Amino acid sequence: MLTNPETLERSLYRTRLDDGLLDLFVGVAVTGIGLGWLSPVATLGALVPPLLIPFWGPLRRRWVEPRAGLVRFSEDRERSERLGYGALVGVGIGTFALAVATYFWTVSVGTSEVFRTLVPALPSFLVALAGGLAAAVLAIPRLGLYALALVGFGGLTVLLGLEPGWPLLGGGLVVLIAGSIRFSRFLRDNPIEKTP
Amino acid sequence: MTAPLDLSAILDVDRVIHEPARLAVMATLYGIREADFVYLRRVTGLTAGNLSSHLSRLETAGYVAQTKRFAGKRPQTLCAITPAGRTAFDGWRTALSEIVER
Repeated sequence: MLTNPETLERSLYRTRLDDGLLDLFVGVAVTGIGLGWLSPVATLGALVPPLLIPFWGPLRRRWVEPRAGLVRFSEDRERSERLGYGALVGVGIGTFALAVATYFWTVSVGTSEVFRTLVPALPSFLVALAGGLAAAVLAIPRLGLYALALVGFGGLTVLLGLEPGWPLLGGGLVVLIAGSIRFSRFLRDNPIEKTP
Repeated sequence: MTAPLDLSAILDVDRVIHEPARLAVMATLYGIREADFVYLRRVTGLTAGNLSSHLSRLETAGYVAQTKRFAGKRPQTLCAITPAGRTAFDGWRTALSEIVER
C-alpha cells in the first residue's frame, strides 16, 4: 500500500464517513419520506431531506470532528465530491418527483394490472436506485446495501399489496438503526481528548 | 579480491523520513491537503506526545508545516506537507525502490 500514496489517499477517502452520521441522516430522510407518504399529504415527505441538509455541517463540526479530526483532501477530490453531491441532490429530487408523478398517474389512469401491482414499490425502487448511485459516487459501499434493503422492502410491498409509504418507512428504519449503532460505536471508541 | 560492498545508498537514506512513525505521518499527509492533529493521531495510532514529537522533527526539517488555530473554542493544529517535504518523500520512495531492487 505504501508504495503508492494514491492508494493510501483513496483508502483514507473511503473511510471519511465511517462515523455513521451520514447513515443517520439518510435513515431520517427516508423514514421521513415514508411517514410523509403515509400521511394525508403524501408529498410532505419531500420536505424532510432539504430540511436536514443545513444540519449536516454543524453536526459534523460539533460531534464528529472533535473525535475523528479534520481532514481536507485535494482540491480535485473535493471538487469532484461537490459535483457528486450536486448530482445526487438532483437525482434525489428527480427520483422523488418521478415516483410521485408515476404513482398518481397510474392511480388516476387505467393501466395494466401488472403495472398497477408494481407501482406501489416504485418509490422505494427509485430511492434504492439513488442510493446505489450515491454508493458509487461517494465510494461508500454500505449505501449499496441500504439500497438493496429498500429493494427488498419494495418486493414485500408488491407481495403484500401495501401502500408506497411502507417500504420507505421500513427501509428508512433499517438505515436509521444501522446508523445509530455505527454512530454510537464511533462516539464510544473515539472520546474527545485534549490535544497539545 | 572482491570490491567492498557499497552500502552508501542504504546509509544515505533520508533518516528524517525513514523512521516508522514519521513515515506514517508523511505518507498520510502526502495524498491530502491538510489534516489536524486529532486526525493524524487516529490514523497513525501514535500517542499524542509521540506524534507531537515527530511532527516537531518533521517541521524542523521543513517537511511539514503546522498551523495552530481555534475551531470554535477548541484549539486545533493543522498539518500539511510542504513542497520540500513532498520532494523529500518522492526521493525517499525512489531511493528505497532502488535499494530493494538491487
